[in-house]
Amino acid sequence: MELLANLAHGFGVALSPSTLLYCLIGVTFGTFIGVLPGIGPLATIGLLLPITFHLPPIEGIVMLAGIYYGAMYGGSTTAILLNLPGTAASLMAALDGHPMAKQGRAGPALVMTTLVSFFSACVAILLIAAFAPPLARFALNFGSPEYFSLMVMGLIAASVLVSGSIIKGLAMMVFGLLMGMVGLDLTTGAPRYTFGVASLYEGLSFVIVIIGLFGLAEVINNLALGERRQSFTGRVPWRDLIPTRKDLKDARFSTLRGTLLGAALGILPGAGPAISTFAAYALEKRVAKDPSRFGKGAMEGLTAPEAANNAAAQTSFIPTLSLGIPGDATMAIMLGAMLIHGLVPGPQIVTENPDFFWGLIASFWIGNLFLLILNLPLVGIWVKMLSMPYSWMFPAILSFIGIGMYSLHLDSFDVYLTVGFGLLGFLLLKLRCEAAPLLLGLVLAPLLEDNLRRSLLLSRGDPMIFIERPISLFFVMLGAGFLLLVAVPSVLRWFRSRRGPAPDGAGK
Amino acid sequence: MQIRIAKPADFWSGILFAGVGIAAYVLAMDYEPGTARRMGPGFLPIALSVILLVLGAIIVLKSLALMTGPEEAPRTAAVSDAADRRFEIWSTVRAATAVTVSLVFFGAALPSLGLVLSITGLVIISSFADPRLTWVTTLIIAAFMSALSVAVFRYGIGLSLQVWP
Amino acid sequence: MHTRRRILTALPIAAVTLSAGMAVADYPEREIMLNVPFGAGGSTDIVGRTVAEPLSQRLGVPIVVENRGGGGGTVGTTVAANADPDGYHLSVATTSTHIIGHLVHEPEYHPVDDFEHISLIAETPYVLVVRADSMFESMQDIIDYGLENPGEMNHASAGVGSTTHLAVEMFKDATGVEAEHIPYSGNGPAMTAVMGGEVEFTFVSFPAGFSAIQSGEVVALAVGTRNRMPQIPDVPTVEEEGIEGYEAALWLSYVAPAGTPAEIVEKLHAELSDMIENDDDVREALRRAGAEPLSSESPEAFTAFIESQLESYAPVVEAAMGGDSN
Repeated sequence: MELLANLAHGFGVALSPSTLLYCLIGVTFGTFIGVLPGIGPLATIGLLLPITFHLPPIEGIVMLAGIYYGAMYGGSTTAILLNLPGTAASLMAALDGHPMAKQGRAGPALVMTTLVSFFSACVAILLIAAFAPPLARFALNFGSPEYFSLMVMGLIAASVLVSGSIIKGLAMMVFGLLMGMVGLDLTTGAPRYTFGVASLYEGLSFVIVIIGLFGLAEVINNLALGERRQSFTGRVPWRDLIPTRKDLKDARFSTLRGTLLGAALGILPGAGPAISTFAAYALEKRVAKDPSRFGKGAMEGLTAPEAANNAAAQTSFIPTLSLGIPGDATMAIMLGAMLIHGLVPGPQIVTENPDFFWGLIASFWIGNLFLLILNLPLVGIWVKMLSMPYSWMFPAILSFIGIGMYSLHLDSFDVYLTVGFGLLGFLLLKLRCEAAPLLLGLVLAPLLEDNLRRSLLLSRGDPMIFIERPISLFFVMLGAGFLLLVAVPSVLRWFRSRRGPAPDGAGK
Repeated sequence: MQIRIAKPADFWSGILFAGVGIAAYVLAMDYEPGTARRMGPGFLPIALSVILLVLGAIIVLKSLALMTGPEEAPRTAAVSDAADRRFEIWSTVRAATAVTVSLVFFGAALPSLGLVLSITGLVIISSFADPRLTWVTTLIIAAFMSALSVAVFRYGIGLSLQVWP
Repeated sequence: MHTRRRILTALPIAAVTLSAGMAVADYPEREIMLNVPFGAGGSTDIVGRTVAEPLSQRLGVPIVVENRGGGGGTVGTTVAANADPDGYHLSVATTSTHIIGHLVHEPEYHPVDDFEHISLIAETPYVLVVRADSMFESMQDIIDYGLENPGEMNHASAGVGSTTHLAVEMFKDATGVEAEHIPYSGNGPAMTAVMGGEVEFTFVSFPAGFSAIQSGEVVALAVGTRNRMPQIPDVPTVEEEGIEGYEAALWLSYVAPAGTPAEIVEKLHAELSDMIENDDDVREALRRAGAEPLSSESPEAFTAFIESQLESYAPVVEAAMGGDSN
């Protein structure tokens, strides 16, 4: 009951006209800027942060939070419509969302994304309101060895379950980890795989690789297919924009599972949110009756990662708010903004500044509601845009890629690098290697190395540290379990086929 | 008895992974491996490149099939397929080249020529990838994209990009 | 459209050339760009902006903050060193960019030669912290335990070659304590490691540790400044606790590119130091951000200060960086 009273108090704060206005502005700006490829939540907040300095604290933070969700939501839109994901999270939305768009079901895909985002955010907000301090304390149990094991488990799960071929998935994941080694080694400062190019010292930018491997490779592939490109360009009646009863039914449990997974992993700074979307996708594919539908427009494949992503986005506020420790770069900016406004986050913020804490929680809710209201009518416009001939669209996509990549560091080299990854992505597409595990490897590589190195320093070089600590052991066993679960049947099959008369059953 | 490549896609991806593994290993030999207690910059690259090499090798081996009898070649490829294939190769090369050249031009031109001319060049060069695009349409798209980019990126979110030379 | 733009861009150039002689007297007559070589929202950004706002009111022109992070502050500072020395391009310089960054990363600028040094604005101390239920109740406890059990303890830092790393190396050097250095990526993760018990102690930058200290999540045992911090008056200084001459603090300042007219530097120095010393609102705002107001007597004194810092830090950096790669 106290929770309800607190929330009511929060809504009292958040429903003031000025807070509502700034929430709306934030969400709107966030959505429209987030739609531009290459400009993710982090860049969007960075761009708009100075505007908020002149606002009162609550309005400022509420607007920033609105920009954050808006940009994330906008990112998913581009990922689904154009196969141009900008973050690890929206990558998973593209895997099944883009095939849906190609089948002329962009409307239902976008509407479901909106609905699922709203639902999972609401659940996660309740979790924050009820359990923020104890959850933050639990996250403190995650030291370097736990993070390392969690990441290894996540990497294995993603490559084994997402990809069509297990071993190719693993190889792509290791390829991604190696790509993550590019740049200056954080601890020793030694340059690795930089070939003396100064632009590579800070490592391969994730956005460049993902836009190249996914977006550009897709453009080349579509153009190569020429007339035979299978795409939907006909007229879409308004009725078809709305998800069918079956869509809703398909999405029920996947949304729930994704939400819980995302909410749980979102508490862990850094690695958590990225792993959660991959893990959610992998889980759905695992429990599905017919896993072959995935990657071809499966509703579960779209909704589970989207739910996980949004839940994680909410719960990643928990360490920031209740410990004063930012989970990632975006949260660090939010924390800095709070400090500028004289708000000191920490366990005491709930009691000392209840207006702010509960007002912010309530505004999360309102922000998500605005997203829903704002985006449902937009769906029609986005889908209309998609029905343009591809001949008109690809020069526009290339222009956006060019400007977006150049603007990352105002460096032409980034554009050339994107082209390189586009060609590599096209090659990998032709070789039927899925890029998703590679991208997770790339995201996690620096964190993986950092935590491995720290763990071994802490244990003075003894690898047993990973199985001596219970939480770490749990993840190690889970990872090994995934490998066995998928490897054993396929190894058996291989042996059987080798002993069998002819291998023609497997070949084609 | 002979060996044939049963799954070309797997075979070549295995070769790719193994090749990347070897290259990464050779480069990583210059980096200090360190010890387990104090991992050097070379520790993980060396470990990862070996794993990638092994995975690549397994993929290559798995893609090969042991033929005991005479080759029961699935050589049913008809003449029309061959023409189709030639077209596919041609359009693939055309698409990859047009996309590559257009973006490289854009990257090289933007700092000096400014947003409008760079976008126009990009759109014109990329239009060679799609024979259905007429000159008129291309120019309209170029004009529209230039205006939109200037409005959105330069003035909308205030990126410090040059508009004109 | 094209022609009009040409004219528009031509006008300011003409204005600048014509008024080169009188520019100093009328300074400032347009907006001033302030380069912050760290990300928006970081402690350098916060302190830089806290001062920028009232300074812009005093000068009567807007001050536009530009964040250019990366390379431990050296990327943005390289840009700042090459900016026009017209008084309209200022930058925030800190111990990281001008002392440690220079000594560790060897960037393409020289901290003394490539800048006009306007004034210090604040310093943020490094604070020795342990987790709330730690067995250590004072700095001496850590020293005693460390001397009895060499190499057993772990301590965090915000990264190899970071200022927190140097603060802790100076501490170990002065006391003879041997402990394993576990580098984290930033002050936040280092604090989490202390709270979670992964490491026994760390030196944390005060703005980053302020909230956790206030809430009792971690306990501050000593501050690295010469004087106690007014925000936590009960915590002794490292010097009081027995390390003679120990001082570990990050200073923040305003600088301009070399060649900026001396009159402008003087004017900015006068406004800044007066504001830092006498404007209670500014002092209060800085303290809220975990920083202690600090100004320079004159631009020359500030330059001399940087020179002396470079000298005293060189051996420390060498020892810390060399000692870590064994």
